[in-house]
Amino acid sequence: MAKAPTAKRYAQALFAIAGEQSKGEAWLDELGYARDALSEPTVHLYLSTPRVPIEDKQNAVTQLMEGREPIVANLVGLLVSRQSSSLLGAIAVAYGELLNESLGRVQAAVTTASWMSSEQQGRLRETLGKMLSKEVVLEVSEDPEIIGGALVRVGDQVIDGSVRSRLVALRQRLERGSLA
Amino acid sequence: MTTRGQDIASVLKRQIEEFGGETTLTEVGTVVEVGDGIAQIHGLGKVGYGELLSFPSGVSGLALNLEEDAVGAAIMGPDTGVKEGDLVKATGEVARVPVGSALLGRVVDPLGAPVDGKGPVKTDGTREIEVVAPNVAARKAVNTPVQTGIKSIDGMIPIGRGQRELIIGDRFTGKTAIAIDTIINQKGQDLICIYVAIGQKQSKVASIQATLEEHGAMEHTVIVTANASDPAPMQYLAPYAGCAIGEAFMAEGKDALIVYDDLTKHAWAYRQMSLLLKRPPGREAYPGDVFYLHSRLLERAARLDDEHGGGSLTALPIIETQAGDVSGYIPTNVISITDGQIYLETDLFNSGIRPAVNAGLSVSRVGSAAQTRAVKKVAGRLRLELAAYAALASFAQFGASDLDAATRAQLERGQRLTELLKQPQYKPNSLAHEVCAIYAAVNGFMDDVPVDRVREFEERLIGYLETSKAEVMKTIEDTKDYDEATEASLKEGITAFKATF
Repeated sequence: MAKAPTAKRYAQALFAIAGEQSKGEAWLDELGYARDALSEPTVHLYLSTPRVPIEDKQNAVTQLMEGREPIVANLVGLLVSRQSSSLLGAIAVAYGELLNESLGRVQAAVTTASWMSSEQQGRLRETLGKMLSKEVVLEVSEDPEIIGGALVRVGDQVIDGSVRSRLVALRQRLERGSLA
Repeated sequence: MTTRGQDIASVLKRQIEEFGGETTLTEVGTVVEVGDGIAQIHGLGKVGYGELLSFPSGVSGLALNLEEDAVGAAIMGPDTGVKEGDLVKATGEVARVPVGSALLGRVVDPLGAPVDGKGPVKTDGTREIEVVAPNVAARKAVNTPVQTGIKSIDGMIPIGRGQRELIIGDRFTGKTAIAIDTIINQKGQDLICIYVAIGQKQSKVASIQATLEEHGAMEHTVIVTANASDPAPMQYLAPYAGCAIGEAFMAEGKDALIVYDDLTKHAWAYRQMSLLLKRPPGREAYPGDVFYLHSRLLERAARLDDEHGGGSLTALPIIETQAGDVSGYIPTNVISITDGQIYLETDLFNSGIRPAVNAGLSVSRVGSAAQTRAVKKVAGRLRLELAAYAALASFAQFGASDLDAATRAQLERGQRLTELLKQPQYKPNSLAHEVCAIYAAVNGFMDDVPVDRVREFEERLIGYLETSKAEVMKTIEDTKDYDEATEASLKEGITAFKATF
């Protein structure tokens, strides 16, 4: 986790430049593209091999980022020259968080036992939005193991409305014998 | 049994009806690294220092290092069930222990769970494990004695209720024995005892429990234990948990005594935790706050004033030294925190002086303020006589034949006093016993008794006084003092006994 603060600093710097040029949203996609490109197995292997000179790596990355956003390409070049291209994923995440925060938006990871209709999703989004007084972006996933209900994770907080956790709680109380 | 069955059924029914009522908002994080009883957790952004965490395997943790993105937590239990990627929940609570008189006679772990196989402990309340010590305004001067039942301690190094008296010495010099004797001597008295075993062998804890039970002393005693096989965080918490249990009695206006056996191992456990949490090591690899570790614990021993109920908590921390070296880091720390120390020596122990108290190096900074008047009257001379004896003894080694009569008398007296202060284990003396025996010795009644028969003389004298002069013994026991008439009667009794010896 020692990487996390470093990635955050890069993200903050990039976000500051993006703010000046008001291109926040667009660059997030660019970062995503760069991350995917660099994590492609052959590219990753090439970049992480110590025998390849840094200049060659930089040339390769420049070609890879040809025609993309120049500032993001610069960032990737900088990371490669500092041999820390593995930070890119973490930077993208941190950048996304900064962007969401500035737009008054939060990402909520929702896990349900079965598929949610878009109408249900809309209701959940609205309720969560009221609760957190922010615009909510849902990230829906399914997991039959939670049996029923929903598990919502926003940042470091979890709203646990799943049937599984209630059953677990009930079992613990029965075991402890503190029913009353 | 049917009613019980129906009760359970109806409660279950209600539970099922209400099932799913509550959804909770919890703070969570993810385990990124785990090992050596320490977990690094990503997330938990709003967790507080010392907050309890809950791992999915059921064990709890203690948040100790709060960093920007991560939390370092000590796992209080087996760490084998904790895996990378586990979701850790913050509980919003700090560690607490159950307190109250239901704990008496029980053996519990630092979180209050019973480990003696006698079923659950039904207590009425709980108390936070980490509490700030009572402030100056809530305290009053220590003036009531803790009767240890050990002649050398009650006579020369009196311990007061609310005092912190260190018991220090090498391994196998009888440190625990002094504490256990003190606990046994409280049988039928008003002092509640808590024995905290830190990093001890389980067999030792079991034998202490058995000894206390055998002498009927478990009824007023709680044992808090974190054994050598328990994780370091449990050993770290044990004294604070025991202290919280004692403080609860103090808050009720009662008097309590707590033994920490021993703080050396406590410091080791904390050193282990600190190093694993990657805090910088200092002298002897202990972390920078190892002084505060013990000072905040021992500060919690107090004598409260009447406005706050007048309760007290006396602390008897134990420190083990290596080869008599009291200048180590932890011994000097604890010596400077406490109000005096009882210094035990291997040489004395091996030469048969047990308890092996070194009278010269042992002190009690509370002093005679915490002695009953009866003991004060006889013991003032005891210390002086022994000091004079110690000064002469080394000199007299070169041959006692050409010494003058006064010096020889002093030596003879000293030998008998030293002999008198020997005391077998688990045989604490009553107050009257102590007063009468020391009275007889310092007033020269034992001067013509052969040294090897001093203890026999003492035993038979007390037996005689208990039968023939029972009223004298009773007066001393009740008033904790003696007037001229009682003294005369006591003198008469001793003289009468000597005629038969």
